[in-house]
Amino acid sequence: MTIAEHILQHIYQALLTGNIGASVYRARTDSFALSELPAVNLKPATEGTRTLGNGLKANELDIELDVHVADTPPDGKADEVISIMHAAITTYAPLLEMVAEISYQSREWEFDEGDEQRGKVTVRYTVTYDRLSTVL
Amino acid sequence: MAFAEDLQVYLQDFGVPARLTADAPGSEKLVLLDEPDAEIFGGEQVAGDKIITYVADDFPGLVSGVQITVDGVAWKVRGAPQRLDDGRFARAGLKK
Repeated sequence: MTIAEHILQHIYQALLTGNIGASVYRARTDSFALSELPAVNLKPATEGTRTLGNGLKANELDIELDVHVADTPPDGKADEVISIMHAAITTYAPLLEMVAEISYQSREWEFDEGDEQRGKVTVRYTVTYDRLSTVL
Repeated sequence: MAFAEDLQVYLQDFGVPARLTADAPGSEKLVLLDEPDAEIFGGEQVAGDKIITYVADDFPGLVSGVQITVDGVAWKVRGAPQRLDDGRFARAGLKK
């Protein structure tokens, strides 16, 4: 298992145990029905590497957390989930022990409407961790 | 001579009673209620839609935000209603 996968598993676990008020999924590709909301979908986005010297590398793993909600207003409901989610991720001890930094990057809001107001907020983080060049 | 078409014929079989909630009970007219699901956010969510089709002259006060009771259930009109074809029928989306 690579370090990136290990980190993703820790983030997933942090969300599951963090009582964030939403169902948690990893890289789910099926549609969410109204009865499944609110829900959070954790997805890796990209990863890059910087050379530190002496056989050390710094990796930056970008992740996205899609928060799906149905409420009025949807962004207000999503914000409740996001604030708890952020605390859960940034205080989860097993995760903090293996990374150098978990850095919030950005948010993106999307809205739509059917019989209920729907929203999707994508929250992006960068997780930085050091590794030996021989280890991925 | 103009052909007088009875538009209610189109609603008789599958129509359900509806009235603007502010109007008195008993003033119901028939509307067609469709409830299709649609994918949103590029297929990441599925949202139910509620759409009524009605004779435009039956609901002259039906505009965005007005409350309407359809088959006993209260809804709010979502967005501006749209007239269809020759304008004698119209369609409006509903939301809770």
